[in-house]
Amino acid sequence: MLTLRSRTVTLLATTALAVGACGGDDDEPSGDGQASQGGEPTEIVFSQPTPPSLLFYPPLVAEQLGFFEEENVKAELAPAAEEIPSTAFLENGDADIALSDVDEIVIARSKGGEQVVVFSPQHSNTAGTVVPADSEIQAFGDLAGRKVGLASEEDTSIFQAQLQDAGLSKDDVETVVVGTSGATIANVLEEGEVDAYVGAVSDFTALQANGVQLRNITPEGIDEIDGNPMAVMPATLESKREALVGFLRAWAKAQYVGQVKPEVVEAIVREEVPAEWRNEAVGEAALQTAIQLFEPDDPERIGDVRPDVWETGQDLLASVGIIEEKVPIEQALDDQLVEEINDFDRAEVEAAADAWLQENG
Amino acid sequence: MLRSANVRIEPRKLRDNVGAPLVFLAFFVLLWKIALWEGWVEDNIIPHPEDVVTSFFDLLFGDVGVWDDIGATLWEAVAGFILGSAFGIALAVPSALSPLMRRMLQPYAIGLQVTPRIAIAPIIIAWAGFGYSSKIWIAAIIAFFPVYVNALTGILTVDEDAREMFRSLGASRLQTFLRLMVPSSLPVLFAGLKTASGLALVGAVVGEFISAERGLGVLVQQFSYQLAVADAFAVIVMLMFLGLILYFTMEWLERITVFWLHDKRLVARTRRRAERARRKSARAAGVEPRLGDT
Repeated sequence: MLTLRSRTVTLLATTALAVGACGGDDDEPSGDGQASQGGEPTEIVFSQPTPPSLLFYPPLVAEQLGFFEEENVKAELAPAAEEIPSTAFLENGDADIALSDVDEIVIARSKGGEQVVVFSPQHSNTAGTVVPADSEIQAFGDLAGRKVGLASEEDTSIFQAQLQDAGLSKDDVETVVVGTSGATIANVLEEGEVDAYVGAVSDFTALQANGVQLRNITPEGIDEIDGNPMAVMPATLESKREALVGFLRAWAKAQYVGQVKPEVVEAIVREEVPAEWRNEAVGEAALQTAIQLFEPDDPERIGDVRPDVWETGQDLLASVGIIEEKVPIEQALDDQLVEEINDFDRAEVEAAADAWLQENG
Repeated sequence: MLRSANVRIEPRKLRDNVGAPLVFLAFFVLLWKIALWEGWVEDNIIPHPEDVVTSFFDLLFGDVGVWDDIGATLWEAVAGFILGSAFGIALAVPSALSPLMRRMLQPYAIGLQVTPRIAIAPIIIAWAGFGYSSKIWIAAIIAFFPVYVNALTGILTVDEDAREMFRSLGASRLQTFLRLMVPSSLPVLFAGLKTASGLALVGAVVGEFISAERGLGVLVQQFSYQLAVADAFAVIVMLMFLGLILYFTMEWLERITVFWLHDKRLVARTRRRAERARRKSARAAGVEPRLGDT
């Protein structure tokens, strides 16, 4: 029979095990930031707003095709929901590089942050506003007096900026947060509980793949704002420059594979994220959307940073008072790495993709 | 009823513990189907029950491979439960023994309980990082309060007559604590532990909604995004089963730890002790003991 003493010892041992499990550091970036010594790859922790996903296929493809290994980099994903500003992870050192938003970077810098955008993989906006295809609303300005559903509170600022741009104020429109569940969004749009929905392009894709007909009324200037630019802290850029370039070059190679060999990307993501293919129609549509979003303006400068669209983004935020003082955009952007990142043999990348498909197809 | 030396099979127990829940489940499923047939709910919001069952087995044994996700969520929940319970008990003991400590800690424990988890989850993740640690801490924070409150209540509500008896017999404070207060508080403590086990699972899933590479919370989000509602519901059923496993594990631990609450166990223990004593006496007297002899 167990005595009280032995039961107490067992309980304490179990508690120590649990404390050890949560106290252990399984996810911090590698410490020294120096280039790898003795061939050891340098760890780069990158934050993105989803778990491993076909919507962000480049790191999955880069891992499978060995691009990270070629660059002597070990890429560690740090997924975090949109509700958490990725700029915070850069500031506290939890991530070396983060996929962020234009408004997050501008707001962080306006409050004294030093985040710098070094690579912008998506040259179109990943968010927008849609209405049912049969809606009488034809343009953004027609939203006056209507009810608009938002994916989250995070969308409020950019939505208000769009209203301002269309000559409306936030008092002209009623907003309600409906979340990102596809079924809920479909239901509120079809039942007319909201007249429009502000959310991610990927959400619209999923809805349309399930037969919900939508029309995009996002204003043109907003549509061109970069989605998910990648930012770093200046100190990290200095201490881990070589590894960051390697990481981003591997990313750029994978992004290129999506443009020229989409069938390889599809094969890889089907294997890596099978849960995202439960609905085949959504999987295919989402992948197509992702590849389109990752299409660069200039194929020779994947990830190029574009000051003009950033000025537009900042102007919008300032117009609705989200930021009190504009920041010099040229200080928030740094394209010194873009040429180096794009310095790879595209034919070799295509050959690697073909070889993988032949071996695994 | 079959009877051997120590084993009885009770059909009534089987009927009560298994049959009754199955009957309720059947009634619930019937109501669910009626709601769908009558159009009270759309099947893109609430799927058909047979689709959920199909998805459940397909996810478990098909190509998606959800076992890693089940393992991740279970690990986060169990570790968080153990951590939260440990903190709950560790803070409840000094709070029970010292009114000053109680007054110091209680407002903060209550404050932590009423703070919306979704509000503190991002802070925890920013502090604890992206790995399992953050989810375990979120689960621990959610599991902490019921254990703290129940442990505190259990220790404070010791029978005064028993306490007086210990005092009159010259028992030290430590003896009184270990021999009276701890055993007396166990029933109430286990009630809190059973509640906390389910809450820890909730905390793990909340953490996964905010930041995770894998887990059942991640799957729910992925399937919801694709409008694969039957799959999402199947994952919710998995979460229910995990919650039941955790709860019944705590109930089993309670039965073996707080055995005196369950009369049949006490009787069985008494009978076994008596049997052992009888055999010992028989051997000492040089007589071979026979099973069933009194």
